[in-house]
Amino acid sequence: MERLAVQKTYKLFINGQFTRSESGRYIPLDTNQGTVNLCRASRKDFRNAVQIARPALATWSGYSALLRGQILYRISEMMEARRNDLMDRLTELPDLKESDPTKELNAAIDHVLWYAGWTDKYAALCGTVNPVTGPYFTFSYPEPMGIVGIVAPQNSPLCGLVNVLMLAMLSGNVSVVLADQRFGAVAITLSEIIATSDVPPGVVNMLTGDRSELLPHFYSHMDVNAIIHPDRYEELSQEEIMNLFKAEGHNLKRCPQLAQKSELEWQSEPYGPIDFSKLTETKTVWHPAAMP
Amino acid sequence: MKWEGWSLSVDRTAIEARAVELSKRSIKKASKVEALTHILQMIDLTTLEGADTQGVIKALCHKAMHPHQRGYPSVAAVCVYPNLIADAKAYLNGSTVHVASVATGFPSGQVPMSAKIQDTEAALRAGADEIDMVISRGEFLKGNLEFVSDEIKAIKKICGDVHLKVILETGEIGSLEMIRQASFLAMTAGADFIKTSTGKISSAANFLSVMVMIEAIRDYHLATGKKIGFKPAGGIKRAKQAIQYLVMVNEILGSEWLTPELLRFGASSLMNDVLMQLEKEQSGQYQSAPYYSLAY
Repeated sequence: MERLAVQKTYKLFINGQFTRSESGRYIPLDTNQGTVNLCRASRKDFRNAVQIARPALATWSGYSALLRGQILYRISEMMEARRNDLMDRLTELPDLKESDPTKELNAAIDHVLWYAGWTDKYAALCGTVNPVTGPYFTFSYPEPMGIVGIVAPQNSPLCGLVNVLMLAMLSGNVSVVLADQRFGAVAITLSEIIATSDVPPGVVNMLTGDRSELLPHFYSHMDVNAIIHPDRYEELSQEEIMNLFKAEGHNLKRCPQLAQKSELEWQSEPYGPIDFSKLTETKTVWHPAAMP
Repeated sequence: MKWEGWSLSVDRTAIEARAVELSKRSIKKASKVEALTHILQMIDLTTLEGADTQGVIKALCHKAMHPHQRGYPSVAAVCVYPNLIADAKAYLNGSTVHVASVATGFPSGQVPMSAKIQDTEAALRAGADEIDMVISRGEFLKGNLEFVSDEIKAIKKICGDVHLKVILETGEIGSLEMIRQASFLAMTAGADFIKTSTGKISSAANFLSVMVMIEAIRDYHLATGKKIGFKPAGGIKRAKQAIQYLVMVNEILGSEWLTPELLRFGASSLMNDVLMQLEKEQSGQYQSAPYYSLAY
């Protein structure tokens, strides 16, 4: 008798756990291998993720920079170990146009390694000893912004997602990610890798769902400190953009402008220190140099 | 099993099922705003820490009177230690907010009877509008029910018209039957309110003990016609939990209990969550804790 394979539902990744949407909704996703089901997150799933992310911030930003680097390195190890799984997800995609899956995967793993190396180095570039005219020092150094809402790129299934996610993680931010709907299975597979890489629960929360439904909540939630949305102008009408701007203004969310990238550009160039500083707040402290 | 004519039987399975059912009620939109506004007015905003100072009490009282810039109603009372009553009275002068004080050797109650009486008298002299007393759980667990009844009667006698809330500390009492027994013990001895917990032990208000206590209040009301108030306390941090308790009280005791005279929530961090939920309903935006002043 022919064996019936177990079909997987790609769950949301919230608080280190794989859960269905509280709404019970799902999205069928067509792939070259047939249809798979993704969960369709609701605004309450998003709210729950933010609620979970807040205490995780203290844990993750409290880790030493070295430890964060080791954990990011572990993510690259696990991606390498689950290479076949990621390759399957990438090759299933019906509309990956320009690049081939192998290059996409290799670049993604290499980029994680790049960010892992930067965790304990970027502060030396983004921080300064400020020139002063008196017997005291002032130092400026970068601190994480807090909870970062990430709207994953729509033109790069893995490499784009990895880049925006690691950009937030390396400096100690926690994130709630809205994966691109078409690439949801790739994003949840990446979450399975993150879940086994010693990343504390709540540091990365991955949602799959409808953009037009969830974007207003990403932008308006008062407890989200920053938004990364690299291709935000492409998909939206002028009115939608204005509404998002108004919503984000309520708590002065940081919405750093990141260079828009093509599918191939995501693979060729990871973010560098200038971009790292866009997701950090600078704290400046004063210290006397000597007793007068 | 009966005590002084009161049935002490508790059908645990039925209570569990009903508690689960009632806790799943979905209260949304206008009803949610209504419920949250009720809850806000029923809060005993509490600080019971060794580190409490006049500054803490001043901030607490200000928050109790002026919860939010949008002008939501003030809470029912602040609840403090006896030493800080006079300060709280001064800060709350002219407002409708009461000052409740814990007494009788809070939280353990392990002091001599004379000290409990002195403690209560001092609180009343300082101007307390309400007294939250603890029962002697040790005596209760030994079976010395008369001792517990007598101490409640003695404290009620001193209190006179001042509202007396009797804290059972359900987490230390043990079984649901004993919680029911302690509820009747307190009500027959003169309690105006029965209260679940001190908030000082990890096992605080939970669905089952709350259900047992409000059913005891219902049965006492049916038998005597007297309305005894209820105060869940300890570990109520979320507006959602408070709404669940509100639903239980409404379903079991009826809407006449949905007033600060008969229902209170002993809490500190609950208040900010209620305000955040109210603000979410007004603005449509999920709120962020740092935008709300500290609730002590």
